Amino acid sequence: MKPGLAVFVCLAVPAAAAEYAGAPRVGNFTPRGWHRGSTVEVEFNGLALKDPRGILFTDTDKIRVLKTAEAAPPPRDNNNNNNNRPRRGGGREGNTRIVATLEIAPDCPQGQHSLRLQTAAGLTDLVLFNVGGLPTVQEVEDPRQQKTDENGTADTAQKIEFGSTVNGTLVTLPEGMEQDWFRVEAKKGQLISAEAECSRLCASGREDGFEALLTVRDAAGKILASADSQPLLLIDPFLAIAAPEDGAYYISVSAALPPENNRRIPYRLHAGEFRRPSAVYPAGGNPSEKLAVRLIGLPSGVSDKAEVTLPAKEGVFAFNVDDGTPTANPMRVLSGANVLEQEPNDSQETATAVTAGSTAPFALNGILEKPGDTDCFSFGAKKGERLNVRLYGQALGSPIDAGFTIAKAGSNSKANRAEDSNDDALGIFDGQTTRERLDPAEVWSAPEDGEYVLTVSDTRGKGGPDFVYRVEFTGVRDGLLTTLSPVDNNARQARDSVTVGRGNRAGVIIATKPLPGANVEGEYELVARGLPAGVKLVAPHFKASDRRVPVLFEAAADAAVSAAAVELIALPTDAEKAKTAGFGYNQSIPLVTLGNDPVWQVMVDKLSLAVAEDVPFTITAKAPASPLSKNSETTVEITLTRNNGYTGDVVVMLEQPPRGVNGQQNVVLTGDETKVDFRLSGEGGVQPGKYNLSFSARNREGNDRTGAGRIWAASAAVPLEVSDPWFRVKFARTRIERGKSGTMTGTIERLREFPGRATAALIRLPRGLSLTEPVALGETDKLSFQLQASDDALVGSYNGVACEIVVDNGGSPLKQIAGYGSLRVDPARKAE
Amino acid sequence: MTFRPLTRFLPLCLLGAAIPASAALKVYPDSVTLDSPSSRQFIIVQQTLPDGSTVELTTQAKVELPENGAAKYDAATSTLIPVSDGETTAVIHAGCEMVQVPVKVKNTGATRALSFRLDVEPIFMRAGCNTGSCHGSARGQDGFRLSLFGYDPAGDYFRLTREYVGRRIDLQFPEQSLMLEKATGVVTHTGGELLKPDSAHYKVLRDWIVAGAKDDPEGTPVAKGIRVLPEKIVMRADAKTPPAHHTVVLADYSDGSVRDITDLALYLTNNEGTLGIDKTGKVTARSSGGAWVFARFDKFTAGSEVIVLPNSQEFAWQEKVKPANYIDEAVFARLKQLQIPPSAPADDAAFLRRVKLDLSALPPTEEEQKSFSEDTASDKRAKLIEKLVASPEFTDLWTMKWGEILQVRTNNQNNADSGRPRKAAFRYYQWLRSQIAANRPFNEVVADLLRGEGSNLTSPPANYYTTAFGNPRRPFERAEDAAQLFLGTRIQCAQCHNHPFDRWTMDDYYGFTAFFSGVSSKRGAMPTEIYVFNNNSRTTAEHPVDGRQVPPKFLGGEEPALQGKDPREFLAAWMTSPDNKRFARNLANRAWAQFFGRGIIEPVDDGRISNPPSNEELLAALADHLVKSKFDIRALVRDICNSSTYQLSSTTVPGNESDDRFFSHSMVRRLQAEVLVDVIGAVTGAPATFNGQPQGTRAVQIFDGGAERDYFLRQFGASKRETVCACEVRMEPTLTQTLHLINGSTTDQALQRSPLLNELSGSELSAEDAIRKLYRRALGREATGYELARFCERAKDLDLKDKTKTRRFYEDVLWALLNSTEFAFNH
Repeated sequence: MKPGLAVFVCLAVPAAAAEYAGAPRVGNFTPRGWHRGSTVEVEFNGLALKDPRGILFTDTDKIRVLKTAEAAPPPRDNNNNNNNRPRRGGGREGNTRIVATLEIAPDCPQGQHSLRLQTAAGLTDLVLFNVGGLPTVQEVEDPRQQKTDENGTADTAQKIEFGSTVNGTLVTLPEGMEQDWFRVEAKKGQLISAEAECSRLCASGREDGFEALLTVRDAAGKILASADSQPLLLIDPFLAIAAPEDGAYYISVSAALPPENNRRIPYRLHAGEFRRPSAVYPAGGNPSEKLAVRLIGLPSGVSDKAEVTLPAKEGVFAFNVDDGTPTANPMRVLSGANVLEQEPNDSQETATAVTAGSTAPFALNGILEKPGDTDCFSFGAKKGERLNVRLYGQALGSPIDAGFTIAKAGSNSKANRAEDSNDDALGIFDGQTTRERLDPAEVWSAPEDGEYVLTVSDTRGKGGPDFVYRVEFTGVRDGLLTTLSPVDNNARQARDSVTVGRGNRAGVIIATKPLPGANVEGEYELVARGLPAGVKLVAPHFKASDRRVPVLFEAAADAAVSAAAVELIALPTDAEKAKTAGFGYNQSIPLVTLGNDPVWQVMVDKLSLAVAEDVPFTITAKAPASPLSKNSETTVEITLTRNNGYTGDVVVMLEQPPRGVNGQQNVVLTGDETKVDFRLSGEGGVQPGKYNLSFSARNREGNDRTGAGRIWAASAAVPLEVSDPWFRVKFARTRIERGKSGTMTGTIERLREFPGRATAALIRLPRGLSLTEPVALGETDKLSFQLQASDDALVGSYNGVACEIVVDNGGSPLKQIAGYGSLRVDPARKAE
Repeated sequence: MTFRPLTRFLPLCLLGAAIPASAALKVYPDSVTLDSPSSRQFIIVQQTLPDGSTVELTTQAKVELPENGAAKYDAATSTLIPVSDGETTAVIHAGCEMVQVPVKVKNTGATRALSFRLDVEPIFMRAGCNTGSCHGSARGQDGFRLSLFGYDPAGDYFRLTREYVGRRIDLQFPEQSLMLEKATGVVTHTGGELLKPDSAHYKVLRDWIVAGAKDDPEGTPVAKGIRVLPEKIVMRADAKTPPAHHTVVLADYSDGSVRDITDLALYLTNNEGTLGIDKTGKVTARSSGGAWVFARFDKFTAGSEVIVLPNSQEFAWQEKVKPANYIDEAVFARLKQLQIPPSAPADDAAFLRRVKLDLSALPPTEEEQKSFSEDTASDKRAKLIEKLVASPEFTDLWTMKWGEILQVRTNNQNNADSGRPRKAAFRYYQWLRSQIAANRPFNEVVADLLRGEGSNLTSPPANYYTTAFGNPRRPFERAEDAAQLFLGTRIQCAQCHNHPFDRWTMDDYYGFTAFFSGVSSKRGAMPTEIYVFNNNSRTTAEHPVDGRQVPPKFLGGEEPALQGKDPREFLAAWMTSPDNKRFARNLANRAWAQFFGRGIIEPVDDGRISNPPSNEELLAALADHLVKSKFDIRALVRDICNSSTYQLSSTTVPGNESDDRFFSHSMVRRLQAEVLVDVIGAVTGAPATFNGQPQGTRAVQIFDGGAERDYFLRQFGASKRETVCACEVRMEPTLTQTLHLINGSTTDQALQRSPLLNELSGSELSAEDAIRKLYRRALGREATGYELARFCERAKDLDLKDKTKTRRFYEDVLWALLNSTEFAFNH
């Protein structure tokens, strides 16, 4: 049981929620992976896992879902009390299960595949299912019943076939975390490779630094090698040795350091003869190219040659060296010259030259082989040509922390050095990744025609055989990236997909960001491709400078309950510009984070969207009668329709209001309430114009952090007009005595012509004070309000007394707050 | 040998004793140069008595100078005064002894102009004007600032003469200078009246103003050092008339001149209980013991040792304790010198418990007690020490000890930028433990730390530089840490001004800081990873007074020629070299303190001129052996534990009751928090568990300390490991500790869960035997007859068949033992 689930325990859900479970969430599932060319039954435990409708795999079509079915609640777990505690108000039955049968194609890519379960209520959070190339076996220990370490020594080690994958679990026992030992037989000289998928399974809670330790011992128990996390995999270990003798070898999985709390950590241990390089060189080539690469980090005697056929598509490519190599080495694909460094190239004079006449795009490949190594490349550039220069090092799993300079060949002038990158230079959204920020990137343009030299070195002066890097020079492209904006950086999985009820709407914010160096201007629109039938995107046109765009997805009442991965791209509304722009969707799903930094995340290029069977409420919003202006207020009438007698609380919120417009917070409609006047106020920074407002509604239940149990609906877009104010009122300080009447006076300034007649009134008076009657605005600039204080009026000073001016606009009155005044209420003076 | 104190002040020749003149009578200084008309030299006449004590005969002595010679003697002030240029000899008689002192007189015709640095600044220090609470405060006082203890004379001159023209110094009416009127209290002065208008110091200040308040010309000599004479004073305590002794202080200048600065120096002592020293440098004995007096002048502090022997008490060194090794030779020599008798050797039971607690942090088991008492071999103690020193428990304990000051702790674990991730702390711990387990020469370990670089996760010594709490340590803080950790020296004061009680100047401070100027860190691929590296292009530190870039300079040593290399390489080599005496002395002193509850220098990380070792020969011998053994800490520990000194009883004998620094008996020491909780666990058989640690982890094994996470450890003063200071381990008892042992969960739960009590209450043992067993378990000794009788009395109505009641009774007995003072202390 992952401890993260503990937070679900405190969820309180009223009886009605049994019908409307809200967003489903996966707590744990088993097995965490299986081998390709097989069929496997996977059991998902979690919340609201009811009425399954399928599984959405977002990155592969090689895993077929044969069947999904609801299963009985999980059996009692003797070893974990958390799992047995009542939750969601409904006893242990709150734990729900779905069992899915998956058929993994023989050519399914090895590695991690992202999936979301689809139920009638929507999509679960994203989890990873791991596909291996070696036959899978289960560890003999049952973590739910385990009291002692049953396979923690050489004598008790579990025998496995050499060349298999074990799905196992490390459990904290009272005396510390157990070890799992496995025994394999190998021949002298045979390659013994081991790799663990552990923290990457993301089962240990997102805020966790658990690290597994892999150890290989010989038959006598002597440690031959051990490893914890490696730069390539960041949080998981791998190692390889050549077997010194024929005989038995023990491979063990344990904790790299004593875990702080009781843990149950699943892992997948791959042990076999596969080659598991820490790097490949060169780390990229041309589309569809058959590229010979050198494998780095293998024991001596093992062939370091391999050939890879690169895909036709440019970008990142995952290369699994051998059948059985569990995790791919990342490579890059780019059309253009693919230059390999020619050592020595430590100085400008010995720089490796890009073939004369080559223009961007081109790629440079090298290795900083020893500490202090510098690599130089020369290339020609034309004045004014703007290039994206990006070094891929950490992004390829290399331990390098590179920096580069570009200088005119033969010049001694100090060039600017690019080191760590910010999000803009990398073309990623805020907080999407941690590691790649160590890679340098910059938009560079040549000051004049000529030869230039790019010099690469490590910022810490380090180097080594696997310090592989690749620098890509590409032209700057104009365009906007899009992503689903996280509501809260601390709760990135709470709304990382969209669920829209049939006959309902869902509102989300789409964030945009220009590509590195891009020059974007003008008007853009969002286009969704691959939406399920009956679903449409309603999105306003927006300015290129708008970074957050509220959009609506609308599902027809007869839309099928379904799920899809949707392409969501921003295109210029100008059809001509649109031909060369638009660069897609780029969402990061953090799965392991430390502090606020993602450590292991999945990048997806499509938005997951599902149509849910029904949603228990809908909302409509009525456009405000009067325009909003600076320091003024208006209201939007929200009507809630409750379906099937739904009586739960509904929270209404304004999503992404225009700048300077503030919406009310925490507007809750309880019981049978169905209407609310939602107050909007204009701040000093509000700009006149026409805007669209988007209101969302959600149930009160559910978890803020994970989004579990949440149900969402949205109103259609509501037009909001923001105008300049008509009046400004300034008040003199006033005091009034309990039980007496008094006058509050002010000066009115007419800022622009207004239609019809107007009256002024004081609102937000303290308790016990009343205005005798509103004052009609006459010719004079003086305002005088008669106030009456009751005997028990609240004594004190009040600053927030507001002057509301209502303009009679031929039946649809316009309201404006024209100013605020101070009022002091004194106790009654004693009779003389 | 017996010393009989002799009647003081009685000339020895009258008693008919033949004392060699050269040894018994001494005059300080033994030669005099008077190099200006205003030069004066105070002299002291000292006689050494046969028991080694000294008496001052300055006023009784007769000083003769040739008539019309170059100098004359003023008996009222005991001062030599120049008359004319030339050379002469002062002949000093005391009783029937005589000493000749050559006197050189120069420049009597010249008038030396008063100097700001040589004459005026010293008065500011002597009068207290430039102390931190007065004008030396960073913001000055009442609008006037002087540099603290005069570290910036040029700045002081500017502020005095230029900051407010015509006010502080009045050249026309010198007596009306604010400086003089304030100092004499003529106008209101917060600091009060500091100078009398008729004093010599007032006259100097006034004359300097009269002469134009001029700044010093180029080439004005600067002080190179000071000396306090006599180097050693041995007084015999006397309750009726406390003996007194004058000191004289000389300053040596860069031009070779020597000046009597007795009336310009400030005086202090490191042991107020033993003696006092007044403003004139006169030392008065208060009680028997050893102490130092110090004089402070300019940026120098120098000391002189003073021993006060017991009052007229017969002292006979009993040879009942035989010296076992060089340690005893040094300790016993010192004790003889101070006439302090050592205690008797500790018995086997006391020794066994002591050495077990000291070397393995665990109490002796009953089996160990039995086999040790039955062992008749003469070398059984040595064998036991050998075994314990080689045990993994020793490694655990010493890893903890070094972990405390090397700050092996977890802090803000998910972010390496502002803390230390758990993994980094664990790696650091594992590395340190492996070094200690392998008994690697400790100077090599320290060198690795100083050179530390690379990832905090994969290169453990780099964590020496990742003690970030909010912000990474700045270079000067790293320098302070290194000096305190490895040299046992605190240089912090010299960050802002020259060290008032030590030799360190700001130049020394920033020179040492410069070694760390290039230490940089960079975030790694994981949020928990930080990469330490040195930027070899940053090799200087800025001097705050004049903005000068100070290159790396060893503390009290040379400037290395870097040639583009990492300065830390040079620092590591210098620091850990066998030639760096202070490094070996610091290691030896820290090791010593582990066994005696205090260092030979105490605090162990605050060695300075004004805090000298209580036994210099002992510290030197330990350091020397440590160097010879190639920094083998285990060998040193073996030597210490095998010494008779370590094996002395903690029971005092008449004459050594008040000794707390010369190691005449074993010190009674409270068990350190971690050890105490482990001992409770070992005695009851129910060890405590610690948050985040597997069951079975002893407190001394918690890799990152864990003081903050555990109530017991926190309350009993376990180190939080937040600084390099040895003082982070707090040993002082508190009421909370007592109450927690009495009522708290630690004792209670251990007793509740104790398998020992279950076993006893279920056994056939008589109550008496059970009580005996509990004594052995808890206190490592047999119960005394009185103790047994008291407990048996309580047990007489106990029905041993009633297991519940019996267990409760034994629980009470054990509770009482765990709450006894004896239990919580090593003795």
